[in-house]
Parts: sequence; C-alpha cells; structure tokens
Amino acid sequence: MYLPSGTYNVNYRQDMAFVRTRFHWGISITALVLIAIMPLFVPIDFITLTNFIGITIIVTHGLNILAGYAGQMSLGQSAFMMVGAYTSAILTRHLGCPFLLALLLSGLTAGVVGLIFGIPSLRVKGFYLAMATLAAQFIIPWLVVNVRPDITAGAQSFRVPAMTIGSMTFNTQTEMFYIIIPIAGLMTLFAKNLSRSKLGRAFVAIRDNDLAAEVQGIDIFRYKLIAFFICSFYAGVGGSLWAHWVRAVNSDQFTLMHSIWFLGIIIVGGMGSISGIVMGSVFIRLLDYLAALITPLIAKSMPAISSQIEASLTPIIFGFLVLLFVILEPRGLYHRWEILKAKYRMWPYSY
Amino acid sequence: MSRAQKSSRARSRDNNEEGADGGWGWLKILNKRREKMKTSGKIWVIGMVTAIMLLGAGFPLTQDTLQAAPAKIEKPEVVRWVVLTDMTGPYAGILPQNNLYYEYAAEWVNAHGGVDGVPLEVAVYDTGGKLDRALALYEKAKTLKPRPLVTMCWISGISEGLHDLYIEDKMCAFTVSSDDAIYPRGNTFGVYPLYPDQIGAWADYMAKEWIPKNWKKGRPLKVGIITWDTTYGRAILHQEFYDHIRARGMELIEPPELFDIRAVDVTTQVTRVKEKGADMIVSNSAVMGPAAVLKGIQKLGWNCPVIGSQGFDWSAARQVEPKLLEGSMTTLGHPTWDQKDHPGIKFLDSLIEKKGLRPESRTFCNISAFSETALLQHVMTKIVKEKGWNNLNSMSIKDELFKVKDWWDPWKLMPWTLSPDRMSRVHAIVYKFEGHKILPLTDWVVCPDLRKAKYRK
Repeated sequence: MYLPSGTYNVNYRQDMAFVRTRFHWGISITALVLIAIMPLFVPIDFITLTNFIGITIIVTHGLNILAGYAGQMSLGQSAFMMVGAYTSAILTRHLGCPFLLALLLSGLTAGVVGLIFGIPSLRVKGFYLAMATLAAQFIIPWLVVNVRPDITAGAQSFRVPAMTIGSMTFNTQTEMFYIIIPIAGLMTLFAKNLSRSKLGRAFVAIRDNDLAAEVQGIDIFRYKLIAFFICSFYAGVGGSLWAHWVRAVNSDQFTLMHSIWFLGIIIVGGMGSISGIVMGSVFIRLLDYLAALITPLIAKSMPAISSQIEASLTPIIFGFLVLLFVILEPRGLYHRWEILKAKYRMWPYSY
Repeated sequence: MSRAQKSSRARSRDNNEEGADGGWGWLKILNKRREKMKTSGKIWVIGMVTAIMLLGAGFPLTQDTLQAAPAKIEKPEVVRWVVLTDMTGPYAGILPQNNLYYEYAAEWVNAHGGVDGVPLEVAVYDTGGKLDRALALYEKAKTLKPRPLVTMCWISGISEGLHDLYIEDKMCAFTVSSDDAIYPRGNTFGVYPLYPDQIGAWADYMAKEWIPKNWKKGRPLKVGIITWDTTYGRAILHQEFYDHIRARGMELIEPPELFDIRAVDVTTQVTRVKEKGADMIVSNSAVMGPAAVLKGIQKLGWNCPVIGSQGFDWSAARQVEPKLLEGSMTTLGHPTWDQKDHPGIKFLDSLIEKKGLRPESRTFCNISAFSETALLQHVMTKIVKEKGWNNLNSMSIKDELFKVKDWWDPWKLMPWTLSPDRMSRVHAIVYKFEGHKILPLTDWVVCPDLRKAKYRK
C-alpha cells in the first residue's frame, strides 16, 4: 500500500485504519456533514436520485463480493433483490412486522434463496455458473407471480407500507434519505471490512486459483456458498429498501436487464474494489439521469427527427458513453482514481 | 547485516510498538495522549454528525408539515398541473411529442378563458418509463410554486406505484386503464375505460352482432390470449374478465401466453395458441406488442385476427403491413384519426399542419391530452365560480370529478362519466381494421364493469 510522504504506520491499529491522516479526517468529516445536510440545499429530485443510488450501492456491493472478490458469476442479482422486496412487503403489510426487523429478515431470506442457487457453483464456473444463476431470474419471478397471488398480489403491483421506526414514519424522499444513506454507508463499511478479513482473503484466493486455494486448506464449496449468501443478503436488503422506497412492487421492476446493469456497474466501477462500486453506482445512475435530461433538449432542437430516434436517444447516448469508458478505462473508475491519487502524491515529480 | 544486528533491530521495533523501552518512554506518553485525544475527538465528531443528521431529519418533517397546511389562495397568477409521460422509454411510440400536445392544449384553453381568466399551465416531464425517475420528477413537481393540483401519469406500472403517494400527498391524479392504478379507491381517475372493460365491450359486440352474422362453424369461437408480461398486459388476466368472455358464448384458451415488452418475435406463443385451435387472439399491449403478435401469425402462414384495446391504434398498427391488419379489431375510448369528418379529428389535423407536428404523433394519447386539459378547465372553472378561489385544491377537484356525467370536451373527442364507485371512464367504441383504416363498428357504448371483485366493494 502506498502512503503519503511522511505518513508511517507504527502499529497494527494504524495499519488497519480507514482514515489515516488529519487531512483524511477533515475530508471524511466534511463529506459526512455535507451528506447529512444535503437535503437542505439540494433539489428534491436529486435527493430521490441519491436514494436510488444508495440502494444501487447496496445491491452492487453484494454482487461485487461474489463476482469481484470470490470470482463467481451471477446473473440473478435482481431476482434476489425481488425476494428481499417481497419478503419485506409481506412482513410489513400482512404481518405488521417492524420495518427494521423486516429489513433484516429480507436480507436473510434472500441469502438463503441465494444459497440454493449457489449450489451449482461446486460443479460449474464462469459462463456455466452464470447460466445456473440465470435460472433464478426466471424461476423467482414466476413463483412470486403464480404460486400465492393472494399474498403477493400476483401479476399486479403489491402495495408496501411506508418505512416506520417506532412511532416515526418515513414517507417522504427526504425522510427516507436518512434511512437509506446510513444503511448504504453501514453496508459499505461491512463490505470493506469483509474484504480485509479471513473470509475476504479466502474469497480472493478462490477467485485467483481455486485449486491452489483448496490445496491451502480452504473449503472451496463452503466459501463459495458463503459468498452467495452474502451477495444475496445484500440484494435482499437492497430489495427491502427499494420496496419501501417505491411503495409498490411488481415483477417488472426486477428483470434480467436490471441484473445485467448491476454487473455493468461493477465492471465500470472496478471489480473487486469497494470504492469502485460506489463510484460505479454514482456514475451509471447519474449518466442515466443526465442522458434523460439531454434527450428532450436534443429532440426539441431537432424536431424533424422521428419519435423512434427520439426514443432511442437516451439508450444511444448512455450506451455510447459506457462504451467509450470501457474502451478508455477497462479497469474501472477505481483504477483511474488510484492513478489520479498517485499523480497527485508524486507531483511535481514524475516518480 | 549480522543475525545479532537483525535481532537487536527487531527487539527495538517491538519495544517501540509496546513502549516498554525506557529510551522511548516519551514517545509512549505522546502516543497515549494522542490516542486519548483521537478517541475523544472521534466521540465529539460522531456526536456532531449525529446531531446534524437528527436536525436534518427533523427539518424536512417540519417543512412538510408546513407545506401540508392548507394555504389560503387568492386569485393566483397561474394554475398548474403535471404530466408524467414517457417520450424516451418503452412507451415512446404512443407518446411522441406528447409534451407539445399538452402545451398546445393549454394554449387553446388559455386562449378560451383559462380558469376564470387565470392561465392553466402544464409541466410535462419525461420519465423514460422508469419508476425511479418518475418518483424523482413527481417529488420535483410537488415543489413547484404554485403546487400542481393534478398529476397525470401515462404508465400503468408507475401509476400503481404512485397510487398511495397521491393519497398521502392529497394529490388528485389521472392515469391510464390499469385497475390497480385506480383501486382501492384513492385519488386516481382513469382517462379510459379499464383494459378488461374495453375488451369486454368487444365481447359484447361479438355476442350481439358479429357471431350471429359471421360465425358458421357450429362450435364456440375460440379466443387465445397473448399479452404483454407487464402490469399493463396482465391487467386483463383475472377471473371476472375470463367469465365475461365465456358468458358471451366464446371459449377461452388457457393458460394465457405472455411476452416481454421489448420482444419482437412471439412465434412460440402464437404457435401454442394456434395448436390449441384459436380463432382470434386477444392482446392487451401497445406500440410494438400487437405488431409482434401479427408478425408471429404471418410467420406461421396463418390468418388470425388480433383483438386489442387502447394501445392498438395507429401507433401500433403502422408497424406492420396493412394487409396483416385486415379483420383485426380494437376498442378505443375516442374517435380514430381515420374519421376525417369528426370535428375533433379535423381540429387536431389542422393543428398538426399548423404547428408542423410529426405525422406519427397521431396517437390516442395525444387525442386524450386535449380532452383532459379541457376537462380540467371545466372542473376548475366550476369550482372557482361556485366556491371561490380559496376552495380550488386537489381534493375539491377530485370531488367535482365525481360529479362529471356525460360531459364532452369542446371537440367531442371523449365523453367523460366518472363516479365515486367507478373512477374510470365508461364509454368506448369498437373498431375494425379495414382497407388500411380504423373504422367504427359501433357507436359509443358503455363498457361492462369487469373490475376485480375485491375492487367492487
């Protein structure tokens, strides 16, 4: 690990610290304070977008632990999110379960479902495992829609009560911001710590060479299943927050396309990096938002273009930017950030 | 370096960490003090951040409470409403230039008196068909000054999501024809009859006129369902709808076939209903949906009419060859663009020419834009005249909409009948595709009420 000139780690505690210097402390505190007071000076639609980014960060952290750290491919993240969303909806609406308990149980339920779909990882990997997890994307929505429509509202939207903690109800975007963002922060912290633990190192060993990891005494199957559980737990928590955020869930919200985009986010952000996931989530969601803002302006300035082209502009702009990004920085935003930091530390010298 | 030197250096380092060496005692004290300061500093920082977050959390609560208080309105400078549309997402094909149609409708209304002389302003936002973006835009709309009194949302799935928010925000709303977007009864009204009601009207027509005249096979007509796998498409998949089709003497093929909103090839689903002997196919879809079903039928070299609802107008029909449409039928809550003598269509055609609007903007949504705007002008003006400006708010508009019965917009585009029991429009016309035109088979008919049983209470 590179440290700024004049900064030394003289004990393990310092070596393990997230925040190392006074400058880091200053930046961290300023960032926390700015985030805390953000609703006071930021437009409400941006707060809604921030909430969405917060949920995306949680879900993609889970996928990053599975794909980025443990090297296992999953195309079912959106389906696991659906499990969390419906579990939370059923618990809070039908059983009157408190929101925070429902949040935890949603994560656990999704985790258990993820475990089941992770079983093929013992025998297959790579594209074959992706295909196995793809099954989740078809089976779970089908089960939700068809098995007990009296409980899940079947094909129609399932209305979800607002988030409540004790007697407090969080039903506006600003109020939900103070639930979603701290949870996203905690989940990020947990993911960061996990990556530095024995478990995280075992995941990395499996990712880099599963045979060598097994020779070293790592129980590969057990660790792969743990990775699936954690990945789905994150998706479940994200799904629960999503359900209470949008207040009505249906199977249209958890499609294969969403799963692919989650995968896209971790590739753009930088697989196997916690900060990269945050950067990727913010980048992709902002890009999507900006593309939607730009499109009507282009369409208005060029009224002759047909509605089909106008409709395609958002995905075209969005896709083109992502393509450019992947060509120019295939190792993700995190790598670019590391380069920038290194350059800043070396400046004005080149080495 | 000798082994002794190495070991001495290691000891020194260990002592340094543990602070046991007397020579490094001052460093030990300094480190301890620093640690203490760090700990107390951390507690102070965490305390400050928590306090700020709590204050921040409390502030919006207060702000919202203040906003929720009924503000006294004198004669405002402008009266506003909001439209959440989809010009760049999966529904873009039925909503081209939707923003312009709403703006021109507001322009017309304001040129004809506005709301008691006050201009009616519309804010149109493009959601891209995404619920997350719609939420953000709806929140943004609520902060507009003056606050919008009515919200229209063109996407069933999004309207279903906003249903409870409308109630919490005391916002009167319009939506399209999914019953879950309207019921349980809240503040949302349907601008068209519900999708099952529309196809139910077609079934009524079939039983009354088409089957007695044209069906000679000596067995019940078999109807297959190939519909979108979305909240829109699945809105017809419930028992009340199935029972109605059967009660009209037709046989329904089960299970219904579903296809993705972006699917272009549904040959598999068409093959399955063909094998089960379907004579007609019902498809509750829009834009490319009916076209995908028709193309699937063509690929199999089959000849089978497709029956649609609101979304099966020219926005969908122009995606396929005209000959493929022959014999297909649809139910619409307004006149079609092919009824050139209709006063409303004449008016809209002249507007398209005058404003240079695109030909493909001739869709049902853009017809509705004018009728909705005129209805709001009528209802708001009535409230202002009868109860004064102080009583013009979302809830008074909702109450007034309940009283609307057989009301026509100035162009005779859409008749409006709404009630506290049935909160969507009830009138529609059954049409056929013939000679590359959409022509009426019936006059305005009252659609059957095919709401789910749970929504009738």
